[in-house]
Amino acid sequence: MSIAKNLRRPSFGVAAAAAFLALIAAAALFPSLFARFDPVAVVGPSLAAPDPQFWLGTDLNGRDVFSRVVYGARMSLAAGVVAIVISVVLGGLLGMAAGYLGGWADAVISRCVEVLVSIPGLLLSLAVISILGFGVDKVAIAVGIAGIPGFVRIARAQTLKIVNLPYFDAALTSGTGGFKSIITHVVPNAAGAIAVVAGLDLGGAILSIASLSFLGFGAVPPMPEWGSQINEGRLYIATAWWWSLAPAAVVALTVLSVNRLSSQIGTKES
Amino acid sequence: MNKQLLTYAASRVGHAALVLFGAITLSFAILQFTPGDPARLIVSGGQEDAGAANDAQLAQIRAEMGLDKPVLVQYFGYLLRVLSFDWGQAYSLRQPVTQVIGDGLVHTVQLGALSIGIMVALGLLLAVGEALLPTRWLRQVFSSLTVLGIGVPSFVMAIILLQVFSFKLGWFPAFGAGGFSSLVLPAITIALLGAGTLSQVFSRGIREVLGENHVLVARTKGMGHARLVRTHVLRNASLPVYTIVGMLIGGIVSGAAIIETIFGRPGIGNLYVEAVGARDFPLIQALIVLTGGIYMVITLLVDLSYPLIDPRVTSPAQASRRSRR
Repeated sequence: MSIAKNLRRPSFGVAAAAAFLALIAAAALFPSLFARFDPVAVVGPSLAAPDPQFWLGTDLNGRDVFSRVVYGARMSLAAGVVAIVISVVLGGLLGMAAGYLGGWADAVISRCVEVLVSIPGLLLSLAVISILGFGVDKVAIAVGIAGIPGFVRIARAQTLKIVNLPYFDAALTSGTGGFKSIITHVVPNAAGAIAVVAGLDLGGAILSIASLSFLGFGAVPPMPEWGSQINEGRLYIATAWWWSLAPAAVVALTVLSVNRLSSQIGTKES
Repeated sequence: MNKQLLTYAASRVGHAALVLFGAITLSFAILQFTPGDPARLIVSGGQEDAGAANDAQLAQIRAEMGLDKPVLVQYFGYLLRVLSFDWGQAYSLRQPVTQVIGDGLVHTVQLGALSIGIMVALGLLLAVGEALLPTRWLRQVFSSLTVLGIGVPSFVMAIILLQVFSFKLGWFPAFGAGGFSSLVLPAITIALLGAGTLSQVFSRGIREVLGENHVLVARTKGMGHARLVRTHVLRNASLPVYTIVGMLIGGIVSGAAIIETIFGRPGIGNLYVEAVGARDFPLIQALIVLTGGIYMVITLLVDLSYPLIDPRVTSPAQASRRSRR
């Protein structure tokens, strides 16, 4: 009942978050509809202030900041989604294995997770980058790997809960194989809880990717990406605030919106 | 001391040692997983295809890091070197790793200490405001401040603070590590990161305790609201905060990586970012073990002091059940 009520009358914050995310997603899918210029072409004077032609001004090379922010959405969102998929798939598999097999396998997987947790996520991502090398794809993989421990924990807890229920025992004793029972009983029942955590983590993943690109490990300069744009412009903040602050504001609003929406869904689930 | 408490302490210490051992193994694994020749990467400063390295130099690095031996021999050699605090050379800086880290640690500890102070003060203030202010909209102002603190990226916060307080007002230096005034902006930035999380956990604790029976009893016996909060609520509500201290410390170390880079402070966070950029593996390995070790010590201290704060906790099972709450 409360879900129906919430759906009918979403609060202003939730509605605004959903609208903003829809806009960002549209920009990521169809950037040419929004952008007025080629994001990597020189189209105006250097460091022009925002005006009717260049909505968010231009950067040092005379590229349109607004168009670069629009095209940056694609790379930043795609990298965030790739990272979450890696975390969910690998973390989910390991967590279900730990929960279902128990004993020795569970002990080994759980200890490994504790070791990974002892190193802060961003530093763990940086360590993975030192292995893989630099680039947006590698940054996405690194953030995905750093996110694995959280999903191992939630998948393990969910699996433990389900394999101890009578119907799972019934499935096993009536001759369904262990692997098939997991696919048909554990995966669909654990999916809801995992999806909520994945939603909450997406904001964090976008933030980590922007942070790592900001530090210079992600997109190669002419390519539009939010984190590296903020980094390019930060030394000019006193003279051309728009260059750095425009993508910065978009990152902050995106992360806030994702968090707002997923915490809304999270409270409905529980 | 009773026996139960002693077994609890022993199991926590054993567990911490296991985690540290794991972190050391993980730092060793980095070299094994790196595709190509780590020595060549080190010589060329991170560029895989810079082929101009001279063979004598490569051979020297391989010998120093033990890369020319079988994996198992390398591993036990690595463990021995870690135990004797011999981390070898930070090639990108041409100095011993221990010296480089020692120099950086001073700056990061100063920064971390100040930001923990600000974080706790701010987090408690926000939480008390969010949970206890009399009118609804005042409470909402505080809770939206909390959400902002969690959602705004640290580097965005840093850039805004720099713009306002260094460039516009000129109150604080924008760059470097020169005395207390250069510490203020980075410390505030890192503190803002954790204060939001801290205040969320604390204010949830306050609301939970306010609904408990002993508070109701005290209230019906006529205790005033301010005194009630001070004597019965705040202390109990601070219990869940202890369990996230480890997480907050981790956040400070990650935050330091970004914030020290922006403000040009030569701490270990900045060092770590530069080591990754230069693929300086000995330095990266040492810093990973160091951060894992810091986390381990902090969580161990929290675990061991927990029975003093909350006497109900004596067994590891109970402790972990509480921390999951």
